[in-house]
Amino acid sequence: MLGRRRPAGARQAPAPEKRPPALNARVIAPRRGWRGPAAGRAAHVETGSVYLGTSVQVAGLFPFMQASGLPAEGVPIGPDLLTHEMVCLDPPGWLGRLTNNPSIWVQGQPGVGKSAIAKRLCLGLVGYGYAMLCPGDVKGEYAGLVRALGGQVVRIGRGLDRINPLDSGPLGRLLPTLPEQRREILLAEVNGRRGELLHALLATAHGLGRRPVAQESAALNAAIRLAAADPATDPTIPDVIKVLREAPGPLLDRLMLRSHDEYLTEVRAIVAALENLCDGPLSGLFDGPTTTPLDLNAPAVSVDLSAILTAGDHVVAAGLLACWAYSYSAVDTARAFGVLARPVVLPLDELWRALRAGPGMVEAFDGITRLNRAKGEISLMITHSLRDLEALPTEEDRAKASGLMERCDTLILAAMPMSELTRISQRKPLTDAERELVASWASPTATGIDGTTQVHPGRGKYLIKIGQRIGVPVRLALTPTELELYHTDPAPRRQVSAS
Amino acid sequence: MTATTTEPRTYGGWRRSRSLGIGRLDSRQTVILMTAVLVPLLAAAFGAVRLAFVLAGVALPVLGLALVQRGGVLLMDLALARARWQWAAWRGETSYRGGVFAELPRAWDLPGVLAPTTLLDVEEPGRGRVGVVWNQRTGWMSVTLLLSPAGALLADRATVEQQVAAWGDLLASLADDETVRAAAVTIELVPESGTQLADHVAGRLDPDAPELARRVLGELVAAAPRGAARVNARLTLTVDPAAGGARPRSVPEAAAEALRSLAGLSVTAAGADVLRRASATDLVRMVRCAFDPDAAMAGVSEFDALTWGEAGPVAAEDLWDHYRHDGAYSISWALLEAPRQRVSHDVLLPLLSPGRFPRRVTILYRTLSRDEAGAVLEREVNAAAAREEYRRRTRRDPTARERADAERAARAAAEEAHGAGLVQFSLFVTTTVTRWEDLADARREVEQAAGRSRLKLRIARGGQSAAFAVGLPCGIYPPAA
Repeated sequence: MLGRRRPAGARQAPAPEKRPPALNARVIAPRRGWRGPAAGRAAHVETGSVYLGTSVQVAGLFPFMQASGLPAEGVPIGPDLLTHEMVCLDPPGWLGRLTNNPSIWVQGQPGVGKSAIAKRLCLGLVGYGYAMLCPGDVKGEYAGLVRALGGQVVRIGRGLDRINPLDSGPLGRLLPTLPEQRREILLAEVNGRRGELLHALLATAHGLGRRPVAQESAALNAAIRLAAADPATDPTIPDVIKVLREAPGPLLDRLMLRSHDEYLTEVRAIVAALENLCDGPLSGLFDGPTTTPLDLNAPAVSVDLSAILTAGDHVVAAGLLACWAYSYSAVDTARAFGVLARPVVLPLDELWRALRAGPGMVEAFDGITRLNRAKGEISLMITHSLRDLEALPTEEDRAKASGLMERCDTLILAAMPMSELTRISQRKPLTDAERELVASWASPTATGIDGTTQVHPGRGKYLIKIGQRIGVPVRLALTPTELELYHTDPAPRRQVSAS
Repeated sequence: MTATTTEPRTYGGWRRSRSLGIGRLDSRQTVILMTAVLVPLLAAAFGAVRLAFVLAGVALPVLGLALVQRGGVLLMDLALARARWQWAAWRGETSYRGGVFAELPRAWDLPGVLAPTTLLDVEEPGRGRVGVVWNQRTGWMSVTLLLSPAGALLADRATVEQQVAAWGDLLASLADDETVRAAAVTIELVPESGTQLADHVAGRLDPDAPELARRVLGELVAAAPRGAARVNARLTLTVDPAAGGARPRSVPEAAAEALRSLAGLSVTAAGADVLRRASATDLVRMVRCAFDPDAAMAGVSEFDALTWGEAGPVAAEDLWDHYRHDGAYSISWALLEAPRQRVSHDVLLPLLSPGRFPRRVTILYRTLSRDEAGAVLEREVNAAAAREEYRRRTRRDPTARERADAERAARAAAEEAHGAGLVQFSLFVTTTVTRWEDLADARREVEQAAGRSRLKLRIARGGQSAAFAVGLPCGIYPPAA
């Protein structure tokens, strides 16, 4: 019959007919179906009540209240709080469709499970062939997961492992094997990063407490280049100090200084500051060659900073920066040598600590991370307040810091107070309902039960906002294996809520 | 933030659509009333007093049937449904055995009201293949849009009100296309089968991934179907191609006419993105999965080979208050009473929220043509004015009801002047379970949800198979049947 659907294989369009369709009424069923036993005739058609109203009013019975959710692709998170749909998150897979950038911004009050969702994402992505690299695990939260994944945990601390922030990475020693031109390019980039990092470290309270001025900066960069002249070994901070103290001819030429006294005035401050980085609370952490190189072939790597957590915020901030820089250059050189084919997922926990360590910190961070965005890395930037971003000393820093967040197309918001949500909303518009929902997770329980034994009301609840889409509220449900794994996590809950 | 200080918008002022009659009666009731009163009177007038008494004796129960309601429904309608269903049941017509069991010509036809339909697989220039359901008896063509609602729960109120207004505009715009017969929006809440996620994870899992990651992903996939639901939304537009000025001369032309009407709808503004036009495979899958929920576990490609006849049930029983089809049980409800008070836009939320059992909520719309709408509104405003005049002359204070009526009539007329249309709507709900023990729970769940949505529903007694078919994307529009 004309136009009737044929079985697969015969799906060509019906031939255009010029005459009106002639239907044989005897082979077409009556309106309510065929008569006769077993014909399934609709005995009665219930019309129901038919209502009449103007379209303006009838639209009020709005049928599109429930959202149909995100595609079921990527890492399963848990059920949607409103529709009970399974919510999945696939930042790399949605690139170009739902998102323009695979980076994820995770924010919430302390103790609401920011790292729980970060760990789930890492775990899932590792399952999909990603390498997990936790470049600065302040509380040692990721160490358990990394060990369970069969990965490498590098513990930084006095008497433990030491890393050299000026390290070009575990593969840096292969630099001389490269053809001249490529080596030059790579070396220039590595040196650039080294300079960036030393600037940032100097800006912390243990260094200068400010950005180096132009002269100091020039001296520092020249010293790094001189210290790194031998591509076979990586310079350390003491090496840089040594070059600065020796004041070789090329360095003076570069600074266009004739007298040694003049030179001393220029560099005295940075030499002292660099010495401080190798002494005092930071001594024994970053002042020598790397003891345990990162094993980028491991399924997961974590640089554990929990041993220095008690040394104070500034030490932790400096440590974080050093570790991030080190880890990034490790990844970068590995890519340059083509030995890291896998994409990488980087949980950057406690972002706020590093950002508020000193002026220029944001720029350093930006510099460290920005270069990697096009290369398949997914950064999970985890923080608990935007206030730290707003409290940054210079306008430039503040602008850059908000850029960090704006560049993330995926926002994961855990419980936080309304004031914080208003701040987010200024950068990424949230609707009133979204803000109220997230804020409601943060409010203390009305019963006033002592919070020590109570689980946080918003624990495990997140609002996932992708681009401009309406947020998806989701509850993270841990699987039995995860529960078992995190139960033995060395970081007790007390410590998490203490920050 | 500023929006919270204003009153939330409310909607209402709809009333049951009835034909003209005396007072609150419709024309059918009026005719019966007049007959029941006049015939005995006439008999008495012509001197046949005894006959008049006999006739009066007959007229009284008839009047009772026509005027007395039980549970909001006229006894007459209840009796009619019962009689029709009982008659069909005695003749074995309420059973259905499809496919190979049936003799020609009805073999490979779907049961009940779906029997005259067939599926066309039409090539739409630039968009690929689209499925069109053709009701060969009425000539109507139905096309379906698969939608992805953005969700109004967490949206700003101003945005939602805009979307609601856009939805109203869309409904009004149906009046501008004279071929459009009806539109139906179906929100389907189905349990997540989990196969899509399982396929996806299996495809992406790295063979060298650590054991732990594989195990956790496995656990997540295994846990996914439980308690997870999927919200599917679709809009089916039913078009009578013959009604337009250009009479299509062939079936493909008629199908093109239906697709043309669909292109005119701006659904996106109303808060739902258009995923795609339902292909023939999509339609087969939706119908097949409605009749056999277990089929949802099958991959999409498996539906490619099915014909329209195979989309239906193998066997079905249209029982008095439920429908049994291919190992599943369904109950369908029809709207009895829409919310009487003014409501906010989220009134239907409880009914549209997933429960334990799959549910299908269908809202049917028919927009009155501009002429028809104008006439109805004018009549209403005139009636209100007449009542006002009557009150003024009798020096009687208006009752609250009269005042509300007049206000509503004036508001409707003003809205019509601003481009609104008059819309008839109706609502059908179907819930399906695969275990007989769950049927009572599922029924309670829907009735509670409807109550919270301030709707009164009634089970489509005796008409289960037809009410079930309303929720399918086949253009079944019972008010026109």
